[in-house]
Amino acid sequence: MILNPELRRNFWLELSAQRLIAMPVLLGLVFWIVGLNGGESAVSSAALIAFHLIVYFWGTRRAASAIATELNSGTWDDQCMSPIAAWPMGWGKLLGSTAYVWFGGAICISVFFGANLGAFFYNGGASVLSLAVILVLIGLLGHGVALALSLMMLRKQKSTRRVPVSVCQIAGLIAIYGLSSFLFVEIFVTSLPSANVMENVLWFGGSVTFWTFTLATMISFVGWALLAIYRLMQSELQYQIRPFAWLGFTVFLMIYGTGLLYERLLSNAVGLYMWLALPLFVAVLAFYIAFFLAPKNIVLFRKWLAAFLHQEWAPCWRLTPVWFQSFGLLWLVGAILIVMLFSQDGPVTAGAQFFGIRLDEISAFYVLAVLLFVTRDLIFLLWLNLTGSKGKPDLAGAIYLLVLYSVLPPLLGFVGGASLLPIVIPYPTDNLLWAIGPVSLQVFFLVLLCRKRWSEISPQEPVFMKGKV
Amino acid sequence: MHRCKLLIRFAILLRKKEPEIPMASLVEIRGLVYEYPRFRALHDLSATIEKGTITALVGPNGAGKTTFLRCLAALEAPYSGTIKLDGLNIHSNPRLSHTQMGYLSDFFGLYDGLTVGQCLSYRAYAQELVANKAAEAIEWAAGAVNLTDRLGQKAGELSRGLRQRLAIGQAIIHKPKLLLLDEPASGLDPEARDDLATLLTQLRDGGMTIVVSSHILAELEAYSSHMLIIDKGHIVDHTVVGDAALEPESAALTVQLMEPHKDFEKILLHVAEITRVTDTAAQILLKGGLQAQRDLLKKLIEAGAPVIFFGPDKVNLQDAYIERMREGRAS
Repeated sequence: MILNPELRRNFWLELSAQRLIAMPVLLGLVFWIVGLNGGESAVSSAALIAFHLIVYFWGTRRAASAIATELNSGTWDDQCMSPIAAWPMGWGKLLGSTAYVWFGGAICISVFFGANLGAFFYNGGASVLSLAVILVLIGLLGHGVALALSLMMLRKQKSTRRVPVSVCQIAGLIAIYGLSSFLFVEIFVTSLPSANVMENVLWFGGSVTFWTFTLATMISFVGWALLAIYRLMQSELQYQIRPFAWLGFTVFLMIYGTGLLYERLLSNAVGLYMWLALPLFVAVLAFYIAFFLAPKNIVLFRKWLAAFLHQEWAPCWRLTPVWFQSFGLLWLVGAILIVMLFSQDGPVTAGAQFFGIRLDEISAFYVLAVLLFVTRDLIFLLWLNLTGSKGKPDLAGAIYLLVLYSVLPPLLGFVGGASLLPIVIPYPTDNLLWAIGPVSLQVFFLVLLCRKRWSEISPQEPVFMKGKV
Repeated sequence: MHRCKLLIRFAILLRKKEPEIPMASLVEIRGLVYEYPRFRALHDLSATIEKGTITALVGPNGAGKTTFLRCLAALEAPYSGTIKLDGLNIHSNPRLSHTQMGYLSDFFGLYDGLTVGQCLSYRAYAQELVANKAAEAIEWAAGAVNLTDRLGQKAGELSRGLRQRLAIGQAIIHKPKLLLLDEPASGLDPEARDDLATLLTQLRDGGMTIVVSSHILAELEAYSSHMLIIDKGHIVDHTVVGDAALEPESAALTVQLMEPHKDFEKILLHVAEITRVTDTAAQILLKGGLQAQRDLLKKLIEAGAPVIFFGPDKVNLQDAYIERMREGRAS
C-alpha cells in the first residue's frame, strides 16, 4: 500500500493499464525496427536517444507541469489546505508526475545495458552501476529543477497564479545538458565510459576517482534540488520557515567551484585572496538569480518593514527576501576581498586571468565598484518594480541591464569615450574617485527616486500591525 | 406598494439583529485588513460568525467577497488583523486550522481522470484518515452528497451539478467545523440549486457552520440564516435573516382578504404584532406556534372575514440587500 496519497493519486492518473501496455509495445517496436537494420550498436544508441527524449525532455515537461496542472484544474487550493506535509507533497509530485516517464526510461535503460553487456563487463561492473545511477540522477536533477522553478514562479506570480511551463522545462533541460554535460561530457558524447572519463579529478588538490566525484557531485546537486522543492513547498503550504537554503546553496557553490579551480589558481601563483574572486562571482550571480526569481510585492515589503519597526524579529526574519540575504552575503565576501587586497604586498602575477579579467588589474577599488554597481542595479530594479506598471518590470530591467553592460561599453569604446567606461561598468583603475564616484552618484539618485515612489504608492490610511501576520 | 411592504418587513428584521437565544461564536474576525499591491481590498473588517449558522456573504462584483473568503480559509495572509476559528488564530496556525475547515473556491476543480470513489479516497487519505476511518468517511461523504451509486464513474463524465456535489463531498469528507463556499451555485440548473440548498441545510443541521458567497441572492434565500454584506472592502451590514430573525415559536405571516372587513385590524391587533396593514391585507408577527395560527384563522373566519390567503411572509433578500447597499453608500 502506498502511504503517500499524492503519489498514489498520480499513479492512478499516470499509470493506467492502457498506458502501461502502450509504452513497452511502442518502444519494443522502435527498437526491433532499428535492430533489424543496425544491429546491437544501433539499438544501444536508439535506447539512449529514447531515454533522453522520454526522461529528459518529456520528464522535465511533466515535472514543470505538475503545479501548472493543479492551478489550471483548480485543485491547488485543495492541496494547500490538505494536511499532506511538504516533503511527501514534494516528492509525491516529483516522482508522481513523472511516473510514466520513468516507466519508459526504465525500459530504455534496460535495453541500453542489454545491448552493451560486453563493454560494461570490460570496464568493470562498478562503472556500469555508476553510469546507471548517474543517468537517473541527471534525470532527477532536471525534473527537480523544473519543479522547483515552477514553485518559485508560482510565488513570484501569485496574483496571476500562472506558471510558465516552458520556462521551467528549459531550466530543467539547462540543468541536464548544461551542468551535467559540462561535467560529464563523455557520457553524452560517447554514451559509454571511456578511458578519459576514468581519469581522476582534482578537488582542492586531492585526487578523487571520476566516478566518486561525479556521483558525489550529482548526489549533492540532486540533494539541493530536493531541498529547494521541500522548502518552496513548505512556503506554499504556509509553514512558517526561516529562509536559509539559498544562502547555503550559494556557499556550497563557492566551495565546490573553488575546489575545482584550486589547481589552476595555484599554478597561476596568485595570492590566497584571489581565491575569493570566484566566491564573489558566485555571490553576484546568486544575488541576480535570487532577485529575478523573487516576488517583489510591495505589501510584503511593507509587512517586512512594519515587523522590523515593531521589533518583531521572528516575522521580520521570516519575511526577509532571499535576495536581500544574498545581497548581504555579496557585500560580506566583497568586504573580505577588499581587506585582503588592501593588505597584499605587491602585484599578483601579471597576465593571470579569471573569467576574462586580468587578475593583476583587480584592485580593492575595482571590487568596491563591483559592489556599488550591483547596489545600483538592485535599487534600479526595485524602482522599476515599484512603478506600478502592469508589464513585466523584471524583464524590462533585465533588458536595460543587458544594454547597459553589453551594448554601451563597446559603443563608448567605438566613439572614443573609453575613459567614460567607469560610468557604465566596473572598470579597473587606481583612481578611487573615478572608480566609485559616478556609480555612487547613480546610487544616490536612484535611492531618491525609490523613496519618492515608495511614498507615492503607500496607502494614505495608516495601518498598524494589529495581529501577528 | 409591494416594495414598500418589503422594506418595512426588512426594517423589522433589522431590529432583531441579535437573536434572542445567545449562540456560541465559531469565527471571530477582528480588524482584518488585506492589501493588494495597488489597493486595499479589505478595510478593518470585524465580525462574528456563530456556530450552526449559514451566512450568506453578499456584495457586488469586486467587493472583496472572494478575498474575504480566502482569508477565512487561511489561504491568504492578511496585512493585519486576526481571524480565530474556535479560539485558534488561523493565520498563526494555518495548517492546523485547515483540518477544521473545508473550502470550495468559485473555480473549483476535480481530477477528471479519477473515479468519484478515487477522488473521495484521495481526499480522505490526504486528510490523514486511515484504513477504516477513511472508508467510513468516503461512505459518509458519498451519502451526504448523494453520489453513492456513482462511485465508479469518472469525475470528468459527471454533469455540472454532480461535479459540484462531488466537490462539496471532497470538502466535507473530514467533517469540518466550518465550510466555506464561493459561488457554489453558479452554473447550476434550478433543480441542482434546489439540491444544493437541501444539502447545505442538512449539513447545517448536522452541526456544520457554513459561509456561502454569492451575488445571486435568490439562491441564498432558501437556506441562509445570516447575511453579511460587503461593499468596497467594508462590511455594510451583518444581520440575521429569514426565520432565524424571529423568536422561537414566532411566525411572520401574510393575511389577505377578498374585500375589506371592519374588524380585520382589530382581530389581528388582539393576537399579533402588525408590521403593515391595509384594508384587505396585513403582514403580522404571531407568537405561539401553529396553534396560535390556527386560532387566528378560526377567529377571522368566525368573524366573517373573507380570507383568501393565510400563510408565511417571506422576506425578499434581494430587495433588502439592495436597500442596505444604497443606505450604506449614502451614509
